[in-house]
Amino acid sequence: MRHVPDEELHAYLDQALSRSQCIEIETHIARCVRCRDARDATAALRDRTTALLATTAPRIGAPPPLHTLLARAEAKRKTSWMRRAILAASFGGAILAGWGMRAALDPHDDVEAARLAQVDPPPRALPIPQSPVTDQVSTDGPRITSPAPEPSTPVRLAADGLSEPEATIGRGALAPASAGAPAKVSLVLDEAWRNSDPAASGGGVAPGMLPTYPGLPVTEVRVHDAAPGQRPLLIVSQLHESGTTLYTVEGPADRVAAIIATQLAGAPAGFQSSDPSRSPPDYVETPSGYRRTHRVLAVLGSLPFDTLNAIAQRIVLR
Amino acid sequence: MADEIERLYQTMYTSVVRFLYRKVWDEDRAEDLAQEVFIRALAHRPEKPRAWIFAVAANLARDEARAAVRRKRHLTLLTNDPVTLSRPIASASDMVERDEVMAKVHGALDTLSERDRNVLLLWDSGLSYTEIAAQTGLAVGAVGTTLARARKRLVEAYDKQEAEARAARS
Repeated sequence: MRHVPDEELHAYLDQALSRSQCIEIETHIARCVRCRDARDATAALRDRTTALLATTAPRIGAPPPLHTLLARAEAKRKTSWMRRAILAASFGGAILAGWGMRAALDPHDDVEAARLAQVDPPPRALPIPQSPVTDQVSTDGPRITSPAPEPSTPVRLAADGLSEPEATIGRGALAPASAGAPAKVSLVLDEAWRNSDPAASGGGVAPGMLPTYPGLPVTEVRVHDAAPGQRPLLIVSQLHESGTTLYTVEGPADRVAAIIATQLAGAPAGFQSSDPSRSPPDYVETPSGYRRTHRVLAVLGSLPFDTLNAIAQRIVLR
Repeated sequence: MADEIERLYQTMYTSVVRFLYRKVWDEDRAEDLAQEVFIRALAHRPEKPRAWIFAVAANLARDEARAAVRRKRHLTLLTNDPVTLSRPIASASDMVERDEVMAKVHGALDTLSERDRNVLLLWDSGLSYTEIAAQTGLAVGAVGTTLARARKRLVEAYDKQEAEARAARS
């Protein structure tokens, strides 16, 4: 009889052969030293592979109850609805802005045109290119170049399941906390922070890597040097149209939490933080591949909590 | 059918997480993806749920790998950044032995071709030759050939890394 080929020995040991095939192999092995050695070597190889793979078993506990999975799936479905609704609202905002512009340019009704011209275009109607970076401003408070706009009625979406306040977006999301001047806030930072020129990649962090709210000018970038192999902790200041400054803090979860706590302690009323949320991509490369670093970002500013949360959801980190 | 999925969820969850983990190398992510697989299974009610679950898991892992490539591009940008320059080699010495072995197995698995790795991981997840064949499109006879090659290459690649590590230490 022919010798047993390698792959058949694997299939034999993996119990993937028919009974008759097994008998045929066993009969041959009983008489053939070479194939017996080959079987032993294959068995050793097979065991070794299994042992090696076992070292890479993840540490996992019992599966979560199935109903929690279903609840999560439901939540996810709602989120995707919300995203679609936000898109729809942006589109609606664009139409409104267009209409406002047209009316403003119409020479036949000066009074109406003047009134409509004061309607600010909705902030996120169209993607606005990143504004050129202004001079570095002090942290003692934003330079207010325009009066704070009147608080406007939040845009509410008529889509199903979107009556929750979280679905309030557009002008509502960006309305200031109060009609008054935004609270002036100085960030409480130690000297390990350094300013980084946001326009130059040589300053520490590539401009494209900054967590920013689209369309708002970046006024300052501060970097806190990280341990080797880690992404640094960042604070990006952006001037919001209400005149307040938004501070996006991004870094490892525990450090972001510590910074938020420091900034909120003793801050004027109205200065709040969003919930820290995951900041993609939150992986770093290590010798053994990618490791999750649990990086989060949170937005601080003199705006209502819900608004800051809505803003944090839309921070772009390319 | 929902009961069937629920039963499979209880019995296969760990295997699916392990299968995914060896593709995405992140415990949390592997669990997230495994849960996603079962959520989809509940929605789709597949006829052959066992094979279906691993097929979907493999697809999700592939998507994840593509996303990882995109992340890697980000990270390439980051590594040009002086404050984030890492010292990957030096930190290896800090790792405990288990992590070292695991890193080598990870590296060894990465040297396998996609097909070899997939067949090996499916086998290790408890699928039979017939199930592996159905899922990968290989003939049942070819599963043995593929597994034989994959096992050999995995061990060779692992031993090679170990020899290199020894040489680097001495």
